[in-house]
Amino acid sequence: MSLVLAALSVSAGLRIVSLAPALTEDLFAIGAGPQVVGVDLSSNRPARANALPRVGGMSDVNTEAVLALHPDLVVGVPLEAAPLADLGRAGVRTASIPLDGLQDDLRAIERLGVLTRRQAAAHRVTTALRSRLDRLAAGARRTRRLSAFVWLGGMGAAGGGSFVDELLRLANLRNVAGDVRSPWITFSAEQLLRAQPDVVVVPDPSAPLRGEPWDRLAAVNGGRIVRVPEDDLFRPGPRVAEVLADLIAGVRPWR
Amino acid sequence: MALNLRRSAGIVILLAALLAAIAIGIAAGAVTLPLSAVVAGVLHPHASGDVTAIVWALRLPRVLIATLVGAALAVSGSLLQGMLRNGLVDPYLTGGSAGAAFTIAAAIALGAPPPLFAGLAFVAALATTLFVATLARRGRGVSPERLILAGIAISSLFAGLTTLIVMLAPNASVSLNILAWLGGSLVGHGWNDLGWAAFYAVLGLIVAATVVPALNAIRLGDARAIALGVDMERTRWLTLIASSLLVAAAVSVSGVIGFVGLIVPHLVRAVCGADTRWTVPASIPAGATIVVLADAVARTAVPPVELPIGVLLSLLGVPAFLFIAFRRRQAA
Repeated sequence: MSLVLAALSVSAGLRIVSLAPALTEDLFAIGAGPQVVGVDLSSNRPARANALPRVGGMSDVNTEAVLALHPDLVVGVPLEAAPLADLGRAGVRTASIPLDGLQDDLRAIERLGVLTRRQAAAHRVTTALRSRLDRLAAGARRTRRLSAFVWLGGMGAAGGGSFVDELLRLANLRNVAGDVRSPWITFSAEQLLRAQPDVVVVPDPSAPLRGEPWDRLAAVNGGRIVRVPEDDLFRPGPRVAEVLADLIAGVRPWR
Repeated sequence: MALNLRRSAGIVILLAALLAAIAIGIAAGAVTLPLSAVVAGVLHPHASGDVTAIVWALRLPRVLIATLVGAALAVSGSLLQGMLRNGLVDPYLTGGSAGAAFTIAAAIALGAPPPLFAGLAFVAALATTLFVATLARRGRGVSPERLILAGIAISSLFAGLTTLIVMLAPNASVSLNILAWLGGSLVGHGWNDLGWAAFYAVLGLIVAATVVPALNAIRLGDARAIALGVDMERTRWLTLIASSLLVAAAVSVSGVIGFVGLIVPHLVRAVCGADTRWTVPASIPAGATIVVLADAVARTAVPPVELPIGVLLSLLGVPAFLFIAFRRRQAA
């Protein structure tokens, strides 16, 4: 009900501030880009977002800078609950939109469609996204299943239930750290040696994998390393299908 | 005589505990291996195969690094607590570790090669400690109270700057690398790192050995130490240098691991009494045992995930510390 009322109050001149890079991309994807008047520090896509005023982000949202942009709507993620609450107290309409997985990602696009009265556009985006993801996953299922390790710095790994973990599953890759239900874990080097993943997925740019245990991984020695732009690896949004396509293409030589 | 017997027995027990801890640390891991395979892995470092890789390339250097870190932090804590006659002092207090942590964070952000880290950590730890000591100068000597205040202030400054580097890092994987390293962890170091850290730690122990008799006199008060012929200024500078070397060795391979340097000197005093000539050497096996055991639990509690060692040090160390401190008070 409140959503409907909220939607009714929206005008064409809606001024939106986005506090998360995926939400910024979503807004542009559904055609609400011209209404975005401010973004967080990490919002770098599409290119037009780079020209917008920055208002901090995550742990350091500058609420006064947000208010100075006179927004009608501020969208952020649950981690930004505190600044969103402050903005709510200051009389700004806010929405906290979870982005914990692919389903969340699609729901976020639909929800932004409601908030900006662009339901039809949002629906077109999610429908296209769903069918492309389905097609890609169906194609990947016809290839040989490989095991993969997603390296996130140090001995950090993407565990089960993470956004990356879902992408791996759709790409018909088995995440060797997937049994642990936590998006970011410190993985045992011993277990990694034992698991000997077929491929290692690393964010790009990142330092070369050298020393222990990397020198003893067949995947690293054989150059079976897939580089995914780090923005894509950590960020859901309307380009997930392209990221999945890149991932599938990246591991194809070793299927 | 009875006291010396008790102290000797205490040291023997601590050494036995360290050997047992090292054996446990090598035998236990996230991958369960039969004992015979572990022994073979230790004895045949050049054999091929998973087991050798796990035992020789991962476990052995890690257990030895844990030994080094525990010993270095505990000795450093014992030295500083002795010099300042203050049981609340820990090796991070003089700002050396914060300076080293900041420097390594900057080195990671700038893409410096990891073999440089130990050297950078040492230079930064020593420079920061000397700067703090200069701030704390009063007349010809160093005022303990000013040293503590200046140390806390400079530590906060470097902690703030380190956070700034993490936030301004050019990309997320650099931030994650710095955070993984700062968190206080023995993950991801091999024989080379151990070699460099051991070099600085041994230098630190040699310098420490030269000041131990003077520190033992300082225990009785500055005036009596001077009457006994102790050169206070020289002792304080050498103690700070020894402490910096030890802290730098530890920080370069483990980031910032808290608690050991503060608590172990108290545990050791409970066993060996207050004589610095006993507490400083006894800190070596005591600190090493605690860190090796905590790391073994961190690696094996919930495989394949590794727990942060700081969590385990608190969980294992605090009850032990409270037990001993409480018993001592009752006895007194």
